Amino acid sequence: MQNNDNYTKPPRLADWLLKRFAPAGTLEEVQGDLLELYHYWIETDGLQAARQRYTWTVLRLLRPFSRKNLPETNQYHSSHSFYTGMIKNSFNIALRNFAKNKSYALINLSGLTLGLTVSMFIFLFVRNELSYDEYLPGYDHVVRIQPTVTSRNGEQTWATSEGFLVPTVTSLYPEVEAATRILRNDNEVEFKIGSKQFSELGAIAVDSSFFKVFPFPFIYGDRNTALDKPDGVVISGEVSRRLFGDVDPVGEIIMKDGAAVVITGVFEDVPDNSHFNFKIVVPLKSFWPDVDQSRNMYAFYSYVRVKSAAQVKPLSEKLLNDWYAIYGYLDEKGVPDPPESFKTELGLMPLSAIHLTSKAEKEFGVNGSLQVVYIFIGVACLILIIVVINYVNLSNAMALKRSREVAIRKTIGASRGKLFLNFILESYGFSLLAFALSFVMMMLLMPFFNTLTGKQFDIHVLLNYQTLVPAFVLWIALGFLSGFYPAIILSSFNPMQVLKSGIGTSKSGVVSLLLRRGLLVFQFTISALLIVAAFAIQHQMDFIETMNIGLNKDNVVIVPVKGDVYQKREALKNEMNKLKGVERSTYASVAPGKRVVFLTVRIPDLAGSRSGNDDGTRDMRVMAVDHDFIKTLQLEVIEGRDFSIDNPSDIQSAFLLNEAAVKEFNLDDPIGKPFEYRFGEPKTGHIIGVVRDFNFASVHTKVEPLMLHILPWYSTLCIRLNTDASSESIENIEEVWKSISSSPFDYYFLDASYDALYKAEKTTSQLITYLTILALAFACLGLFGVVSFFIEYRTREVGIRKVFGASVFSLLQELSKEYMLVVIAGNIFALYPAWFLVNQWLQKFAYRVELSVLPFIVAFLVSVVLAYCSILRVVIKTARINPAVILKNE
Amino acid sequence: MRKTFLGEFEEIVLLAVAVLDAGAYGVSVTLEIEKQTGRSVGFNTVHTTLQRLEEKGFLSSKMGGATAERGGRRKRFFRLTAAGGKALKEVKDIRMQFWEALPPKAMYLSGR
Repeated sequence: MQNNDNYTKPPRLADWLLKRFAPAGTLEEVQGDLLELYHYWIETDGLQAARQRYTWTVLRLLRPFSRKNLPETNQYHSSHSFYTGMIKNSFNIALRNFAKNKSYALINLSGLTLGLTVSMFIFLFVRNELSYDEYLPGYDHVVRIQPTVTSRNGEQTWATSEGFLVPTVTSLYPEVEAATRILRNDNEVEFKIGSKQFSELGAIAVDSSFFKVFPFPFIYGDRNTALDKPDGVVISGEVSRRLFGDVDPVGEIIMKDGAAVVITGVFEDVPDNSHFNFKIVVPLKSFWPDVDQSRNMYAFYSYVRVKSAAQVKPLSEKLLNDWYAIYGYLDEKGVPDPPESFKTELGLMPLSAIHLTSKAEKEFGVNGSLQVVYIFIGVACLILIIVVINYVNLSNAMALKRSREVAIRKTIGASRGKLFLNFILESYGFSLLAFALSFVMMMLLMPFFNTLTGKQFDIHVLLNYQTLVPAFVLWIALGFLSGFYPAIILSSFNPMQVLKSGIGTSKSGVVSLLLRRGLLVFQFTISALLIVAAFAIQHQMDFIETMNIGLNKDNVVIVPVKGDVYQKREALKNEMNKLKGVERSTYASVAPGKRVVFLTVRIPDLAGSRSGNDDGTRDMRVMAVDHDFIKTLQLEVIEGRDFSIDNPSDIQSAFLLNEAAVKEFNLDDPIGKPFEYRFGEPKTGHIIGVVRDFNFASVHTKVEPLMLHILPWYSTLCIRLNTDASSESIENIEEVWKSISSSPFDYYFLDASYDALYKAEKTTSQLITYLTILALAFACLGLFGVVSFFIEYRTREVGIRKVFGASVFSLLQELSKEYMLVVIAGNIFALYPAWFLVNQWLQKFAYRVELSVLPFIVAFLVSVVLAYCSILRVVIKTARINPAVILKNE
Repeated sequence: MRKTFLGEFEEIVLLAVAVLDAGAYGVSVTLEIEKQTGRSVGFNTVHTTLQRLEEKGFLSSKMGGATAERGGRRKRFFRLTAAGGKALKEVKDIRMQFWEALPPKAMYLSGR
């Protein structure tokens, strides 16, 4: 019966508690004593009271946190893991292991350090790219209006928008807190302080609400009123320090274009991670009085600050719906009456997204590329994976060497948990060392990194929490990842087996063999992938550099026209042409490689060729040039004729088209067709010739339709040198410039400006090349480490084979077979991903190479040869071993 | 100066072990104290005190043979060590010194 049971057995729960938590050394007698007392209590106090008393006594006996063990039972109990003597001992053993396996430990440490350095650098770069325009408070309330115009010519998104939009949008929508236009001055601004002449790049004209939309902190002056004065000017801290030193310049008078302007404020410099940059800010109204009515959509950047970030999306929907009202396309009754031929969608681009995602026409500066950021992140991950694999592989290999140590420790009484903890802490300590070293390395390599990426990183970025926190997280993850598997394997060794045979259990052997091979294969997959990518990208970059872009960009010096030169341009050109090193020169509205304007023309023959009310009006790229443009840049006229001095009417009525235009507009027999220019002062005339397509923009896009005509709308002088450009000819050109103008002289080479178009690709290409070398080196190091470790276990086999007559050569084959298979498998696995990724990358070029088998063959050969070389030394050493020496030991 | 301080309950436990001589173990000590002092003491208190006294070196312990009662579990028997005897004697001596120094009237003043 249940009750009878209760007389002999105390409460179960209390008994369980006692067993679980009572001090182990005293459990037996305590249980005995309590049982005895229980029976005594039943007799004296009754069952119920006895049970209560028993439970109560047990509860009060439990002292889980202060276990005191009796000396008698102490001898089989290990001491606490964090006992200082134990820590010291662990340290000693770790150091001794390090010293014993110096080369492997160094491979491991340097690999980890390099890998970390590289990936942390990449992390810095990516963080910088992602942090664009996020430095001002409330940056997420700011958007840029980007109209997308859909017309007969297709769709075009602009970074600029019409001048009247800002006042209209501000008055229509109450959620708009402030809005401003920015008119950028691409030329140098010249001004005088006292009698000294200065010129500065980077001036903008803005609305008085500019500093409400972009609340840059002010060093001097009042942000709220700085732009209220029509003759005021605000300058950046850097300009202020350069011109005035460390004093407050507010109130200083400077002379600009013969008028006096007063400095009203100094703002803190625009940080590097901005999509725009400017140093001088002037009020727009005094510069362009009727700006509020302006329908010019190519001049202004419009930025709007809304009251809360949540209003951005609703506002963008409103703009899409109301565009015809904003533009005034309403009939007398106020009913929408949008034009048929085109429509304008007013898009809103968040400020912080401009740098990486906006691909609009006429961007403020050169934007970054989201693709490059993704490539960087991907590559950083690959490098980290390789490094971790190396670490796991080598630690795993070293672990086998430590099996005897583990066995002895276990025999002495180390528990599995404590061994695990010991090894994982060792791994953490090791990676901490690698982290410290990589921080040192980053400090040393910072200048190199800055030149590579074109950014300005300071050593201090390494020490702020935004770097340290991720580094800490990475450390935690890395220590765990790299220490976990070896720790599990090591702590699982069966001491009996290890001490008997000198090696761990066969079961863990198979698992670790598979894991090791798998990881090696994976490493070589990554290396092969990177080699293919590096070669293909290099191939494409070579192709871009050497492809026939239709003009000869070598030996051309571009001199921007500024100041008073415009009036004296004929004299300047004549003087230049007289110079010994100069072959020819030409004026143009824009240098090739820079943005060419998009203007309206009309080709009467095309009238009616499109649906709707088509009068033959088209938009196309237009360059204003002079008579020597074709000859100077060595363009080819494939039909008709070039502009000619002998034909004075060419200035008024001659137009040249490129092949792309002829094709786009379907003009058969274009020569002599009437043509009209519809911008500014319209011109009418005829098409006199067709030039072969030349890439006036980057090769990311196909050559667009282009028209050339003669118009003195010049911003640059292009000078072809007849010898290789020497510094002497540049000096001569400068002298001529100085003899004619007082403006500062400036120049660049045309081929250099073309190269700048591919900066993102160049960076990618360089990065991939460096990282390929690194990844391959890591993979080979890892292979070397693993091979040299495991080949020791085959020396007996080699000895026996030799006794039976195996030659050194056949042994070489036998020993390296396993690892060569690993490399080959890695290459095979890399085939598809490499093909896919490289093709993806090539898609963004309109002119591109076809992906051939060559990079794959190269990747295969390079990795096989390098892998073989890296293991050759150990393998030869083993194969040449004297069998008598090894077999003697048995 | 004395090296170890002997608490009041420790003294009683020590005395009980001494009284029980060879038969001192957890239960017997507990019951002996209850018998002698007339107050109820918790087994847990006695148990921890015994252990503490052993750590201090006043007691030594030994496991006894298996017994038929209490589920065959062995008893841990405690004995007074020389240090324990000395400590008890010191406490007694100090008390005696006080008793001897007591003025005759003092006991009456306290309310007798």
